[in-house]
Amino acid sequence: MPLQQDFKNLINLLDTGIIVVNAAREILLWNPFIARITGINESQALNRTLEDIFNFSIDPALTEALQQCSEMNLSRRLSHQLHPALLPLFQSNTKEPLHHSILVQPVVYQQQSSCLLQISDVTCTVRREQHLRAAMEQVRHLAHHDSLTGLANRTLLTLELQKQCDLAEKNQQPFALLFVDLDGFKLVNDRYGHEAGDFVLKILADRLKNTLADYSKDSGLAARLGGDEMVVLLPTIINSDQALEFADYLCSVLAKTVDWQEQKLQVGASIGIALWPQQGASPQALMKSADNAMYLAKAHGKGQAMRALNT
Amino acid sequence: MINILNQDQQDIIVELMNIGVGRAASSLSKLVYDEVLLSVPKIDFVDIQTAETCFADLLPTALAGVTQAFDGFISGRAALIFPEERSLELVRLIVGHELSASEISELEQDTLAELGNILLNSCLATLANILHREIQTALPEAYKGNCHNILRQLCDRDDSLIMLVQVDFSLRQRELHGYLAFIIDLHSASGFHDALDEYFEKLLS
Repeated sequence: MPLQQDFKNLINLLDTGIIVVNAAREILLWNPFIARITGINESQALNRTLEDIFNFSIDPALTEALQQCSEMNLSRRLSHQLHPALLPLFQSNTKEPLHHSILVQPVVYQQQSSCLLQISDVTCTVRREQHLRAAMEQVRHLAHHDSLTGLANRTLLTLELQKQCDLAEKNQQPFALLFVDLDGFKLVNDRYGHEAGDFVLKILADRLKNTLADYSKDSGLAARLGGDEMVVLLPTIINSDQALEFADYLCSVLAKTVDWQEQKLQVGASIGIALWPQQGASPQALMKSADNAMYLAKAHGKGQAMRALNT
Repeated sequence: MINILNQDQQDIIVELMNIGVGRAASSLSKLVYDEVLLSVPKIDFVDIQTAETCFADLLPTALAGVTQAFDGFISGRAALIFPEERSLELVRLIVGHELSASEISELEQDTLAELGNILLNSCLATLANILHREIQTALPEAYKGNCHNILRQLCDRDDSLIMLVQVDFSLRQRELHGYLAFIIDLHSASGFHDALDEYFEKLLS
């Protein structure tokens, strides 16, 4: 037959915080686990109220659960996700918050109607899940973006272009697609090496992104298709003159020199412009038109923008 | 079995469930700082055999959710039931994470258990309070099963009264359908009967 002391010993060994409070929230039991976490031992805790011990910074959800427990005999599970700070608990060594969830159950203790609180440390789980989410976020980003330049990749461009075509169809609002091909990029690569080439690409991609952001107030998309080919989706243009104006400006921005290891590298850009719906109503048609226009620009001497012919 | 409760009594229960579910909705709304609407389009009172057929018709094979025991003027088990692949959707809507259904989370299982707990506590407590009776609830447990074994899991006797409550959740412009099942031990069904009668008489006087 186990003795009372046997049960007490078991409670003392548990790897969970155990607190018992009566209807007035006075502490009737305070186990070593919770004493370790709070730095308050049992003799100091007994007969003080929960609010008093925790300096009145108890989450109202816990207070409500305790009320429902003592008044209505309801058991409650308080999860960490919904209540990130039920009690002010901290890691003893690092002073970081100790993430926890709490179970509340009605119990008779010392012949009083009381509430049993079980406090579980979920810090490891929380940290693991934060890492997992961060990793998933990275994976998602990599799946849709070019790792060198940070621009959208072909997959994301295709998705966005289709969305834009659908939207344009619905609202009868035109938009433009620009194919940007860098002039003289191969020369830079051959002469100064791939490191230089990559650097130039990164700088020009940034310039492209920033120019687009300024112009379209963050509503456009800049993508890298591969090599030195980039694409710009411009949802905010009204007519082809506007598109040409932007493309000309972009040409000048991309033609500025790039400083690399005391060299001044220069590439330019040939840009092809295609307008929805005149030069293509589907993503494929628009891409083709813009591509053709870009070749036209190259044929006309490079470093310029050209509009596609109407389909 | 179903004849234990007459039509008037069933109507009272439907009323009380609606109040309980409404109270749960308001608790959940406060929790997420957004409007959570819960509605109860249908309640059925059935026995085990009928329940099995009902479940098989209404619910897809793989189910998940939360269950908790209750004891007092009525005793038994209560469950919140969702089609398995949608069970974490409620959690994701409430917590606001945009993870796909196949990404498993330990913390979310815990959250789902709490959501079920809030809903079931509210319904049971409302039932007890309004009928001036006592009830006590146990901690919720998450479970997974299929429509065939779920009743066996919840119900260890063949002669229970089952209340199957259809619940529609609406929040952040999304909708979810789930079920609440209350499996009431028959030995307590007469206590239920008396409480309902008393309440009904009070209403009439």
